[in-house]
Amino acid sequence: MGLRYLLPFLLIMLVQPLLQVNAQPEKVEEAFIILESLSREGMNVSEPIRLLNSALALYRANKTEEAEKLLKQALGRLRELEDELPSYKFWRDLKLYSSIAVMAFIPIAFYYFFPRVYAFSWYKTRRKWVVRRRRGREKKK
Amino acid sequence: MGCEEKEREGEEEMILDDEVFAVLMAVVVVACVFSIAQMIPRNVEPFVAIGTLNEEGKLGDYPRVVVAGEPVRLQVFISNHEGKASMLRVMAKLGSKGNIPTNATFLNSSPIWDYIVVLDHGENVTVPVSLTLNEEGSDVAIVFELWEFNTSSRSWVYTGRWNHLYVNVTRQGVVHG
Repeated sequence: MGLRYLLPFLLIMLVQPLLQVNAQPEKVEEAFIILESLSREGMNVSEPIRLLNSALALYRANKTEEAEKLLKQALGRLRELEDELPSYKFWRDLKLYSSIAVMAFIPIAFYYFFPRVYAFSWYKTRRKWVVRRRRGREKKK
Repeated sequence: MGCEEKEREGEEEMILDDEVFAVLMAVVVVACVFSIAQMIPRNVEPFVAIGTLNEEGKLGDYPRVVVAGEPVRLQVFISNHEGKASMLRVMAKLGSKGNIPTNATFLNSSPIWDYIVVLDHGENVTVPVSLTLNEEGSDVAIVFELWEFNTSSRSWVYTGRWNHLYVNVTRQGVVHG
């Protein structure tokens, strides 16, 4: 008889910490899932993070209504950022690949232009020089 | 004939020395390859960290004796280097000598303090903690476990990171050694 009640009690005691671990507002999870995917792509999510942390602080203080307001605001901002994601990814990739292309082109440009620029500046700095035939050379001739 | 020789001599006398140009070229190539390597995004080793600090927010000088019913003041440091934003949770639990978490298993007891925070990559936070222990005992382990929210399974996952602090909990006016 005693065991019949003891077993479920023990089971509840064992499972209780796990149940507590999963207990949290669903909207926070929803907001964080969007936030994480945006942050993984490298978007600036500091504003939604601030809003989400303020909402969590309000939940801790049992100010549920105010917390939900902030959470709604955070979700709104995250959805805006989610809409901007394709264009953000396009410009991010374009910037990255064009920077790499520019960097890869520098050695070629250096190989082609540097001797020319150097020669040009060499001549320019010596343009007032007067050329005189050297005596030694004349003798060699 | 003499004129041709002179022309050849002139060709040999270059304004920019070949060897100097080769060295400059090598420097430019190496610098560009290094810059490109830096530009390509890489996955860094992701990690989260937790640290227990004393009331003043410093390492060491932790309380050893705690009076039952009176608050123990500590601070918990949490840091995120996962390469993305993370929702982290710190739970304070009570353990005992030999009954503390491991890298793989968490302490199977109810949390006495719970804190959730969202941190961006590279961000950290130090949270003041005030715990009240009501039951007397020696070598009571105050355990801080770090959990992370997993978006794929939509559940909290134990990170394997924890801190613990052994204290002796005494009645008011009684101090054990």
